[in-house]
Amino acid sequence: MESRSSGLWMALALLLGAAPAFAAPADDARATMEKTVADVLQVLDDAALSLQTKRDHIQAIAFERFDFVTMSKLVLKRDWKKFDATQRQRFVEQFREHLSARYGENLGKYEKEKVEVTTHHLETNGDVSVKTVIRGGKFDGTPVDYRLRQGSGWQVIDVTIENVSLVSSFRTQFADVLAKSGPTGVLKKLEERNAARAAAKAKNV
Amino acid sequence: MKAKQIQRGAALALLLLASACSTANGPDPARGYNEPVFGFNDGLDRGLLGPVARGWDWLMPGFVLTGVDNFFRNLDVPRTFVNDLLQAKPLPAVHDLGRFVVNTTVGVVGLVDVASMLRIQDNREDFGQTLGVWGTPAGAFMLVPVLPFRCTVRDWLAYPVDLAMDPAFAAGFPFQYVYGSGVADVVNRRAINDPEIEENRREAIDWYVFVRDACLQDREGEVTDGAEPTAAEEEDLYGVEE
Repeated sequence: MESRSSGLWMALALLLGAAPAFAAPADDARATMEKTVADVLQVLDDAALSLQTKRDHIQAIAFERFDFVTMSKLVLKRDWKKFDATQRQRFVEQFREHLSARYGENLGKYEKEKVEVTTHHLETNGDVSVKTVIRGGKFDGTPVDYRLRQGSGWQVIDVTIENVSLVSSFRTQFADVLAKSGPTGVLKKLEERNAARAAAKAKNV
Repeated sequence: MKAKQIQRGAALALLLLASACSTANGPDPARGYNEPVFGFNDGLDRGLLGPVARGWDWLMPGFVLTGVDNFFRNLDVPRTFVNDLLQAKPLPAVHDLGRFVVNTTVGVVGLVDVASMLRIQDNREDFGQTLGVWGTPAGAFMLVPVLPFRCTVRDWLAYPVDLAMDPAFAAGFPFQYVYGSGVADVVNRRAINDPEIEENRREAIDWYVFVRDACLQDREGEVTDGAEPTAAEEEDLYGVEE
């Protein structure tokens, strides 16, 4: 009797211990996304911050939670090989600047909006998709899906807004520039965009 | 004579549809035609529609813009309802019927989107999607001067059917009224989305390619209702090549 009940306890303990392991990947990724959303909303709700400070804070969050190296590889796909080591590094830096600044700009102006994390699921290649929906404001009901991959922790590798994947959108845009003017053309375009934005920002401050 | 013209138009459309299926150059075989049309439409937007929309936005308080948009979106619901049925989606059809009844009555002829407050699903269906659901390929990317509503051959072929489902048109209002209200809707929507449009135009790496792909991806997503992509599409989009 004694041994049976201790066996039961053992089994229960094992089950309880094992439960997080079963749930792990997808749930961890979702938790990461929930934290990211909560962090962004906290910045947006902080009335003491100026619009520019909000944007900078959100840009900093994007810097941390997005895997820009993987995103760059996905966006350039086969053309990644055409970039030498220095060009790759420059591309990742410029692309990170471009994306995180726009993430900050886009979210920074939201006031009434909330973001609700709805569902998540494990993809066949081990990535996790987390679906969110914007609530309130003029974008009420807009679906925003994040795809996360595990590297050093879970990081975002794509964002799909209303069916439009960011990776896919940039890939076709860059493919065109690449075909016309190669890696230098792509880097020049990105650097121009970033410089123009920085100049506009300096003018507004 | 007129019948012949229609015949010729239909033949051209079929040709474009077929060429899109067979081409290796992606979804834009008629780029040589589309890009100038895009340039023209974009010029019209920069020079006329954009300024008019910003003027409208400046004149009117925000709630007017929202109300006008709610009103027009409510008029889209009958079209969505019919296409729900044509796509054999009974549950969304029930939601959309409910949405229309609630917004038209409690929401004062659609000015207030009460249905969304009640979290009643908001679906958007049109005849182009219906054709897509039953297997018609999207066909080539295709723009038409002045009219910015559709972007594939299939959706342009479906457009007259969508127009016929416009309640104002179905109720026998004259053409001028239907087009007039269409213009008002476009101006109002342009005003609401002005910051995003201007930002995307400023920031896009290639504005034409950006708009083209956004429209094609969005339409594809609307037809599949966000269904999971195939394994090959997954690998293409998310496989890393070192």
